[in-house]
Amino acid sequence: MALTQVQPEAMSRDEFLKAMVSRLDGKRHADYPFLKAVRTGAATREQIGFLGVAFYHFTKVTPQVLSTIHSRCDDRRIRRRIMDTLIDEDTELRCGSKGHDALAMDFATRFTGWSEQEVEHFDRPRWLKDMVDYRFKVAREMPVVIALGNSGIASESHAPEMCRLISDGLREHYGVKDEDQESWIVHIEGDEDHSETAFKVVLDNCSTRELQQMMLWCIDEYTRHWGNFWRACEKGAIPIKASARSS
Amino acid sequence: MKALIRPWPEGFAARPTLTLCVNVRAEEFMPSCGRRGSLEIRERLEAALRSRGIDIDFQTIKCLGLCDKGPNARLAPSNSWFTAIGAADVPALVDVVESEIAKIKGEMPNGTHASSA
Repeated sequence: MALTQVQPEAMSRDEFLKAMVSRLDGKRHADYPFLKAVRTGAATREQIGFLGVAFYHFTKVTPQVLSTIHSRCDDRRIRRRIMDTLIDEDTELRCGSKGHDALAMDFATRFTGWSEQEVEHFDRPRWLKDMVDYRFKVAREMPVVIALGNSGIASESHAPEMCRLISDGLREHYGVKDEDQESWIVHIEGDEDHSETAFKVVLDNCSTRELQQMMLWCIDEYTRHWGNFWRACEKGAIPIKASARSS
Repeated sequence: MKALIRPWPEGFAARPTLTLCVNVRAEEFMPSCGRRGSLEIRERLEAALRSRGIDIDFQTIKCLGLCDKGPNARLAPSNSWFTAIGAADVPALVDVVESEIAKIKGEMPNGTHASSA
């Protein structure tokens, strides 16, 4: 008797979209109490300083994560979209007056008064190293479409609201001028396009149950790392120096 | 000029802020608000806001992230956006800002969306 393994059917496009969106429910950046604390002025400067330094260490690897995905992508049209995002992230040519790592460094140094060397040599906690390792692992080992979705859907699709909350809180309660927080402001509208592209690419290309399950796993996993990030910011604190550029 | 007007959030404590991008990119082939006239817009806007006594914090920034649509300005914390601003649009822009400020003061209803000035 021959046994035939029946592959479960893939979800329809609408079902898959609903599944991805529902996986984000309750786990978007803006759902975390720390973001609300920054927006309302309840977070301490030391906590926000910690956020600035941690966010720099998150941001500085983004170009390498993207270029890893780019190098593995066979589809010229998708490579072009990745290249557009890479230009935004890693150069001063569009979406930012500097590369986004440099903007994140600007915020970290101006808010804390720390030097660039101090921010650079910050002893990254385990959860942050794990988050970075996870990003590279997905970029290197998962199918390209999943790696794109990991960045664009699991993280960037809900980043504009996060940046808006942080930016408005910084301006309203911590005296931070907009020129000193470009790192957050450029993402408020600038990332919408990246997110839309990622949803389209994922929906167009995840046509098997296996790929769809991988995408849902990545949403769970990346949002878990982000949860660690936001909870650590709540507990974190770094000393703010007198040279900090906020009142 | 295109305007995307969003309602003001409830209960914010600071003065509203109007932020204009004044970035001048070194590369002429890349879009930047400064190369598209925002330096002249800044002068006109500052003068117009001052002369009309509009109570707003006017700031500049080197990028708002929407370079292809510039020159750009943003009104916070309502997260309203003005794109493709021309120097000749400054009076209309100030009119919109003034009416938005009136909403905060309760002189006009909050919640107007997506108007084009």
